[in-house]
Amino acid sequence: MITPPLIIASAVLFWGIESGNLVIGLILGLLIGGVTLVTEKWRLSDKDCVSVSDLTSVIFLTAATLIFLHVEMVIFLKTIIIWLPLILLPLIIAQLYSGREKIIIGTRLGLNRTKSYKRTPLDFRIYYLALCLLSTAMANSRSQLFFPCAGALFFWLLFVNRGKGFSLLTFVMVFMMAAGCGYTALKGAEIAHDYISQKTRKLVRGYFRSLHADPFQSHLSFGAIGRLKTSGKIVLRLKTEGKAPLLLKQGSYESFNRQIWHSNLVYQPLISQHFIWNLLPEPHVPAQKATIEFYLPKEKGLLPHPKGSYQLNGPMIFEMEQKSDGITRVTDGAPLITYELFYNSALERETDVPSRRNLALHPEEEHILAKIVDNWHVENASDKEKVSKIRHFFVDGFTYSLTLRGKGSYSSPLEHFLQGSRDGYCELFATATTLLLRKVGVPSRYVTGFTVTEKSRFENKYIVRERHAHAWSEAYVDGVWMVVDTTPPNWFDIDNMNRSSFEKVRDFLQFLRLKYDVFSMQTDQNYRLLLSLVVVALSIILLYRIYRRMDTTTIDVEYVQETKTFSPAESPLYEIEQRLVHIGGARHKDESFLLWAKRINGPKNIDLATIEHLFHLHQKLRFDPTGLEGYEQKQLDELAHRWLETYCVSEEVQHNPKTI
Amino acid sequence: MSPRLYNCYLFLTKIKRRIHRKVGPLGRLFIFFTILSLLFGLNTKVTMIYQLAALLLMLLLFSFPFSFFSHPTVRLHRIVPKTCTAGEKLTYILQLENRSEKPLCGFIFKERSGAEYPRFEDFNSCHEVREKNRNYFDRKLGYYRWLWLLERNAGARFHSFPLPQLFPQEITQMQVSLLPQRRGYIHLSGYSVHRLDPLGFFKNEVFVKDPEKLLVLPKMFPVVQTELIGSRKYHRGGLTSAASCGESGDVVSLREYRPGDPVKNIDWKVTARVGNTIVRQYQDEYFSRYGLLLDTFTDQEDTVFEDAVSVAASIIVQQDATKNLIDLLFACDSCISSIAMGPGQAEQNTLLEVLACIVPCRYQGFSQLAKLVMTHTGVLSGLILILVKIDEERKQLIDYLESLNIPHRILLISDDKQKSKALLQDMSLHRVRIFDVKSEGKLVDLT
Repeated sequence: MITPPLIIASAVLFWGIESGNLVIGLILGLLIGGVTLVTEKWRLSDKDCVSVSDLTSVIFLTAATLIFLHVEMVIFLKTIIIWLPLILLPLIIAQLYSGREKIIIGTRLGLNRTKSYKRTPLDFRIYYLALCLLSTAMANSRSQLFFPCAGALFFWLLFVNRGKGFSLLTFVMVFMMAAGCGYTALKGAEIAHDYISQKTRKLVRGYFRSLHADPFQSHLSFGAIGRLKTSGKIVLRLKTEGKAPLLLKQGSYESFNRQIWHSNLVYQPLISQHFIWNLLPEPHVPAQKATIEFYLPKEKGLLPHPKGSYQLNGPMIFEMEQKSDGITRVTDGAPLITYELFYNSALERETDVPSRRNLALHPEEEHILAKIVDNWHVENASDKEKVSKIRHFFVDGFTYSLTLRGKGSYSSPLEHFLQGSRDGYCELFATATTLLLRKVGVPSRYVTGFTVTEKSRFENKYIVRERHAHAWSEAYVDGVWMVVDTTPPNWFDIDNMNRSSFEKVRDFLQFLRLKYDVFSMQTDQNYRLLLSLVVVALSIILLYRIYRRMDTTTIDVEYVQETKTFSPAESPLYEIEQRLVHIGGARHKDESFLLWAKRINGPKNIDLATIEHLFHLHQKLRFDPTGLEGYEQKQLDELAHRWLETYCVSEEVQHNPKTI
Repeated sequence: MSPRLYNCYLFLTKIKRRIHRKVGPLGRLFIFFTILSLLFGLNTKVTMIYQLAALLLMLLLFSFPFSFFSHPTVRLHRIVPKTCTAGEKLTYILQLENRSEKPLCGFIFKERSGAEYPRFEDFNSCHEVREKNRNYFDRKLGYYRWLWLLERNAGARFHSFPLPQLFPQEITQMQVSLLPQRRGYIHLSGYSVHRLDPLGFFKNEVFVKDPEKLLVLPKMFPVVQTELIGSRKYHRGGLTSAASCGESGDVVSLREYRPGDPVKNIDWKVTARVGNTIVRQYQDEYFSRYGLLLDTFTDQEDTVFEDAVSVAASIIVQQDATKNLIDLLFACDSCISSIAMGPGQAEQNTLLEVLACIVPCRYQGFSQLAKLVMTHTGVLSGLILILVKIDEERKQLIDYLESLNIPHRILLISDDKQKSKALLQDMSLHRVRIFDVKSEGKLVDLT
């Protein structure tokens, strides 16, 4: 496979133009194309090639770190691919300037240098060319010149590697037809993509929306079939002097329709004084304090807080809003917020009173619930007795399970849960409880949040993982909202059984990350720049150390060519041999040269004596360490020349008798 | 190693070879990048890889039909020598004849190996050279072992050679080559001829069955040697008989029986004719006979073993077989052998062929070979020992040779010179020379 350096240089220049790095592309192009002009080559051994690989690895790691520090995670991989032509430059330069057909690519990076095994050499040029084109395409310039330029590069590459059995015209025709169809295909792909995007937009939007806590909606996994995946990722850390609150409330919803809980309450902005936020109107009755560290990936989200939270001190929170039911959301904050919460579970919000929505039921669900509630005869019971009846209902025969069973043969997943399987997870229990409360006439709402039960191994704090997310009901009884959590109490143990065996390691890494995040947020220094400088400095030291290990010398190209073209085939006998093939046919297997000549001499006179003499001179030339004397060399040349002249002419006479 | 893994590699290798027969190197690369581009280019808004994918796909689709249009009408005949040396390029002649009325160009010739696929037993038990240096993942999966077995079975690397343009009815010849990778026999099943399509992606390969067998001799190293050690010894019965360690050689006269003469020397026919007991008298001759012991007691065919074989071959090639007898003493799993080279005995080529095909002895002990050496010490003028390791058994043999004052040279083939040196010092074996397999300029020093 031939890959001329100029194609690679052109591809790199093309990359520079398309990716907006024209100057770098030009410099790289000149470096790569310059190999055709230099007269000296580097002498690189296999070990040196490995050192070049080491250099490239260090550059790659440095580049990856710098990109990681300066670029959003979403485009991290894309950015690395775009810069690959620059990152992999040492390898291609090493191959081109050493003149090697193949180089060894295999990095050691100081890992047990004594160990070695056979590595397969590789012609890196074609791969580098392909990577250049890939990087160029990844840059996504949307330029109209991309397709013709890429096509021209392919034409060039295929032209030098084309099958020689077909004419040039055939090659050009085939290529042009393929390029034309390729252009049509890419336009078709663009149209198809637009069409599919339009069709799937709604579906995709719904999926992504379900991934994040929504202040207005809570989607349930009712209809799904499968198994819930529980993650051990730590989302929150809580420190308190006394006993930690069991539940942290995050969202509450009043309306249920088609497996979705909705909230229509309006958020009102909260006013802070020196980062102190009053979550409940004064006066406050002091009770307990908790410090919470909570990640806000998009710098906004619902605030987890215990019941009766009345004041919050959070210097990392800049804007907050609150609903009349006390649900609070951060609309502007740091990616990691640390806040002190003061709470008293006895406190109630005066504005938090039920509306008719807290009693509303869909006719379909009402029908399902009626089958259960009609047998209870609780019309004359108090609200507390009704709540107690519902709690008892779920104690008897209901189990906790992470398996999603769908609706089965029932009309809805809720009916399947209540009358069929009687097992499910917290969302099902909370939804069923909320709706049953409404059915018996107790105002209720669906609440989401977290449970706090696990202590950290590394610090004196409680940790809350993703799998500790929970849902429960709140019933309005005797003028207060009381928690009605009917999920079987063993749910926490069942969830814990599914935890990963690497959880401890992951916890430790998350702990380190938290410390780093806290440190970087509490200081005003631009640590990115500092870290970048440290990475670059360390890389330069490593690069220098690797370079020093290399034993690179340069050699003259002419010298290389001379040694490469050296061959003992300087003898004129080889030409005579070719001529004998024409005259008398090829040699048989195991037939010596002289026997062959004798065989030909039978039917056709080829001056066997001269041939024998020439053969002996040739043998001396090839195998005698002293070689031929001057007169012998002259004799060999003259005899061979005369013989060739004689038998060329005689052959031409045989082929073209009319010319005589 | 799991049989599933073996079956998987076998299946993949067969598929790979099929693909290689139909698709050229550039085509394979283009197919790979087409698949890559199709995967990464699904989203036409985020990158422009889909444009590359469209172009690459069309190029492949348009060139594929052309691969069926080329049928070679060239007649080939290759002249392969019988022997060659491992690691050294073998160049041989290929004769070409265009029998058609059209000029032919663009054809490519490639030799085909006749080696079979590795067996599961080999895959399970053989270890790649320096396999222990590979990481855990590679060792467990055994992919590199599989590749190594494939290469070992093939025995040589075969390259493609473009044939010159041939005019109608033209006959010519060219040189082609292959690179033997290991010693032993290499089987060539035939050769293939193909022509690439206009874009150079696909080919229509024609395989011509023409089996050949090639003996690859071990690698040779330069030998530095002074006059052979030891003195000439008396060998009853002369050169021929001495070589075979018997007395059935050249009869020079007959004489009457004396007490103590072996009964087997009695010439019964003459005894019957004359009436007295007559014995045959043999010609006696003095000459040198040397032993060359090759230690084959190792677990695997690693660099140490290969270099030991090469050292033995280098020494054999260096000897003058017209003046001396050389006994090659070695062991294999089925027998403990001694093959002699010299006048009236095997030729040098026979010994080299034995060395080319020798394999490690796994199921016998060194003591058995040592016994053979001890039985030969009476007739040997000297002994060269090529050892792959040193231990008590080997030390006992060396001590025995020294106690009998038999001249000897000992070479220890080692891949860890420092460790071997320390071991030799501990065992007080100061006369043992170390042959370092990691040395760049390898030299067999017998001075």
